[in-house]
Amino acid sequence: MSSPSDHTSVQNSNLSSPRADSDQAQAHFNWLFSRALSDRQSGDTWIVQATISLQRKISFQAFDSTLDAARWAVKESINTNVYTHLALHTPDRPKGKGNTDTTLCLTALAADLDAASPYRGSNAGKAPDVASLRLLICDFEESYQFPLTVIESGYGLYAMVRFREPLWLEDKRARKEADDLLGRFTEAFRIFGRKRGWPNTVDRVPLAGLIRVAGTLNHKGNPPLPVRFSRNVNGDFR
Amino acid sequence: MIAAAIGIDVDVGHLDELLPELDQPRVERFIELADGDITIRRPLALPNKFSALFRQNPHFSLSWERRRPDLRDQTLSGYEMSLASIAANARWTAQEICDLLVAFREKERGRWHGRSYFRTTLGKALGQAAKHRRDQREGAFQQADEAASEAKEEGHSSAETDDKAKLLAKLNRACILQGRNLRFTDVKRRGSCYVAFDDLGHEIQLGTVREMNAFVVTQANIAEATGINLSIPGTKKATWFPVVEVFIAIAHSQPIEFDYGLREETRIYLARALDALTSHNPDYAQRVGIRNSEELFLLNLSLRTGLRDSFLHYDLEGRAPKCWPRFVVWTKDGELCVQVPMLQTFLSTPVGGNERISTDRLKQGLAMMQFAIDKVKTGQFQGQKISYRWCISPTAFALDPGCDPQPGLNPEQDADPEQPP
Repeated sequence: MSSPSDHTSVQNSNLSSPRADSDQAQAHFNWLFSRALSDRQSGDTWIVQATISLQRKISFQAFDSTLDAARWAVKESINTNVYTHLALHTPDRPKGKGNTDTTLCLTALAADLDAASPYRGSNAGKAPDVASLRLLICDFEESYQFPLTVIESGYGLYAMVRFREPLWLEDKRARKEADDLLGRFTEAFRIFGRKRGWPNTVDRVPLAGLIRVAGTLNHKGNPPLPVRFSRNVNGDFR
Repeated sequence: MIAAAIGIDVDVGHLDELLPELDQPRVERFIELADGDITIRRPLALPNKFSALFRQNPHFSLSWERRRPDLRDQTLSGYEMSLASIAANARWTAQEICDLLVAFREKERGRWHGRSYFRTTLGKALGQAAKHRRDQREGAFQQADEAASEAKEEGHSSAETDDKAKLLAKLNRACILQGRNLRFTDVKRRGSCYVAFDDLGHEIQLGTVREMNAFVVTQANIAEATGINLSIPGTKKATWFPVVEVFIAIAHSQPIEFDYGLREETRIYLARALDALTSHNPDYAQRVGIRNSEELFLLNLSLRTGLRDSFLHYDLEGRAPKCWPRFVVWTKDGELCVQVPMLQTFLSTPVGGNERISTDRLKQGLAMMQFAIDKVKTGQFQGQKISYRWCISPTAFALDPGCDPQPGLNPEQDADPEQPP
């Protein structure tokens, strides 16, 4: 199983004809899930991905390896939006969809930072553009003193931090605590957002929530926008 | 480069410490209860307190070793709750208990839990321990300063110059009296009964200790004397029994009142028995000619066939009326006859007042009233004989001087004592 450092390919930055990036997708799944999947405690845990078509049709697919998950994501991304559950799930999920009760392991926290875009129902209280969202990332890193992993999602950013060790969720109480932790991570960004006058720019990613997969495409607009890791070698944002 | 885009990994415990709380008021309530917030840390060594508690408290040591089959909740959390409760009762600080639980969870290879989990567990344990201590110590009474301010507002002043005054001040701080216009000025013991006096000059029959503990009789007597119908705020154990203790302590801090010696006590018992017998069976208000062998036989027969257990079922509804043994009776000659063992049985039942008194003591009391003790009286009817030992008063005996009719007698019957039954 490969680690993020194994993948050094540079994202194709040609926005006029973006294409799915298998290295990014592989890096995304490795970074998020490889340690948990290689853990002996993991047992029967699954990466659950979803595709949401432009007609809002949703379908789910589960994988027990990051390689398969990345290949499928890249393949599906040509025509549709691809998401992954933030957490790992049990094999027995109603209609294939992961929910809070089927969550087994959380490896990272994520907050969904949305900028204003022509494809949203309402842009009230949102940061004017993706560049403005980076100010929130800076605010956070300055205040909490650790660098985040940032994924560009097309019209926003995912701010993420991975745990040193995967968090196995043994019971309902542990799942509630993990969900609260996600809420607190979001709240930290909302505090900075409110200070900057963007009270609605941060969305919570719940424990059973979905995030877009790096290396895939956001098909909201035309042309589609790439979803990708976002930071250069010097640690500065592009 | 993707590698450069990856941030550092952070310990989940560190994130738990850093990130803002979603329910800050709840955290603040915990901080107030625990006298500060907790930090999840891996203690290098358990405190000295641990080994002391481990030696002294078998429940604690068994919980630490996870060997408590008596605990309903056998999960790690259940054991943590047990450890936290014991440690909180032993007055460990919140951080000490937190360190204990973190060490225990690590020992048992338990999964991660954040501060909210430990705050919840500790909050429960500390809250219960505080409540337990409060109930044990002064649960039935308000704090002295609260009561003092209340007394000041009401224009009262309590001079706690001696033990009795201190006890009275404590009694008047009882939670059960909070907001009620009732302040006790004294409590005295008359025989086995206790009598209280309030600042408005009311004399309140509190009853025997058993009656006071049962509350209902005492409550009724207080309401009758003062018009204040008290109710127990919380559990009787926590808020009423300590008040009874103070009643007793005040009464015992001074001599028993002169009038209520054994003689008076016995008189009260006899009056209570006669009233109960005649209210249960109005026929018992008629005098008996004990010199008539047949009448004496029927009287003795009532003792033999009467169901002493029916005293115990006095209040049950829907039961057929039980025959009570007639153990106290007025004779046509104005004597009062008492069958002492049955009187003792009657007095020991709830309807008799739950009194614990020996037959010897009853006989002493009767002797003080000039009763002839344990005279064998045999009744005969149709060849059958029944004998019992009776204590018999002098003729023209007055159980309650100045009372007309005497307790247990029918007024009409009393008006014409010669009229046959």
